[in-house]
Amino acid sequence: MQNDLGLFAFRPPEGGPLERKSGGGPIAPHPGNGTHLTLRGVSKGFGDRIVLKPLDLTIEAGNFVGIVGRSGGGKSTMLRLVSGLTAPDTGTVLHNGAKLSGIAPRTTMMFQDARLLPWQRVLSNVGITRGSGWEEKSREALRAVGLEDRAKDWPAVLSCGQRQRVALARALVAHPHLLLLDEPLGALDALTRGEMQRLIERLWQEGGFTTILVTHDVAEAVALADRVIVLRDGLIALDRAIDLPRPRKRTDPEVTSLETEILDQILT
Amino acid sequence: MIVPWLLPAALLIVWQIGAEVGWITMRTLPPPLSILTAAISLCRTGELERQVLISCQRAALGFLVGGGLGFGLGLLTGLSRPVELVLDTSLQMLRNVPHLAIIPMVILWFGIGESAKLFLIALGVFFPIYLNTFHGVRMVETSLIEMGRIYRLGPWAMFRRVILPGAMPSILIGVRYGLGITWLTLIVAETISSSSGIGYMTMNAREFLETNIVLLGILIYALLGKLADMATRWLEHRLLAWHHNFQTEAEA
Repeated sequence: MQNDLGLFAFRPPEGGPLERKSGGGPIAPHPGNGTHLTLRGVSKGFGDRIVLKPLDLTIEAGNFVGIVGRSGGGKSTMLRLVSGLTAPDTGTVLHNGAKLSGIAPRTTMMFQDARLLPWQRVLSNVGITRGSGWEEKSREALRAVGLEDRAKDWPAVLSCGQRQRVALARALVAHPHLLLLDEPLGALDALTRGEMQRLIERLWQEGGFTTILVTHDVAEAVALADRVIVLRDGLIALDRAIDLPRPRKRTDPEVTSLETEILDQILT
Repeated sequence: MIVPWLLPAALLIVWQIGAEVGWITMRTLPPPLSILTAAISLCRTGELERQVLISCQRAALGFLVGGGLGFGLGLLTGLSRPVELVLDTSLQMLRNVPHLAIIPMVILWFGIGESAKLFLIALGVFFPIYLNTFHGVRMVETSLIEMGRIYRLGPWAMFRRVILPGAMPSILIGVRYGLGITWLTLIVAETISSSSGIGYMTMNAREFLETNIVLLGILIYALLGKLADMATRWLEHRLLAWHHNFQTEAEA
């Protein structure tokens, strides 16, 4: 992984660079920065096809939740319901106990495609919401994803992986309390993917926001999430806490046995 | 590079010589030098400048009125389904009428004065700009609009940063078409009847068989059309810099 990734200043600067404990122990997240999420009897269908059956789910603030399942299993729909992009047919979505209507507050989202504005340079893309001091903040976010020197480039000249890193910087610059990831690494090559996974993990640990990652890659979910949820035919088929130290190794027998367990659930 | 200019230069020389020797009569095709002398003498009296200015004003005003309306309505129908429902079908039907075909009606409505010319130009410019603005707005990727919603962009920010730039390539195509139609319509309108402008100048010269001035008028129309085209290219270059970034990246 390319180093020199600057730290993302979620904390006051006098704290200096975050101490990263050697030995791979997790840095305690700051739950105060995360959204507490509740879904109550939430369901959604398109036409006469039911994508999500009435579903109850609570996600603790600051948690990293992985959602896996076959395509068409309702993963992305669930994410869109949580973001407020789509309204549920029944039930309510609550952010910190408040019923959601419209786009969710303090929530950002990454998609499989970076969705950068091709007519704005990288820095302006990161600072899309503008606001006071956006240039400085955006520069800092770009530093955090290691792309500070590409601030003046057009998105079109970046590689796929770089574009996703810009999208990540854009998602984080506003200091979200909830980060929604809709297969953001699906289109990347294996090497870039691994780098991005570590980057996302680290920024999540520093930021302490709640994260929901939708992926079809079980290994990715097991590597990153505190909790993996399997969605099958619009229902929660498995809800499994993962309490392994970070960073996790793919070859770790505990990791592989978890992967097998989850895969079995998906394939049943 | 000289080579590409050799043929036109040779043609001009042959033309000039042919006219002087008497192969080509002045009435058919006046020699190039006589066109030049006509241009110089008309410039001296200020006549040329005055007529060109009048024609340009007509073109600009007609283009602004028709283009402005087309742009505005294109945005409205592009952004709002109800407005589209009410307006678009009617406009699409009207679009099929060639605007020059209604000249007899225009003369009945407006007479042959200034307003008839402006109306014709505006009408001709309206449709390409309307259509391309409408399509441009509709072609903006929904994924980007969704992204804008997630980042809670207000209506103005969404329009300014996402929709308008996304529609701009298409809008500029409309502008280019519109400019072409502007000149064409201007020529037709000025040739039919005018008491000023380049068209008046050439029609007047025709009466007196001053073919060199007629040809000069034609050349000026061509030149103005070319200039307008260059202006849009420049505009495209400015507004669509992100479109060209693959080529310019190496120079940056």
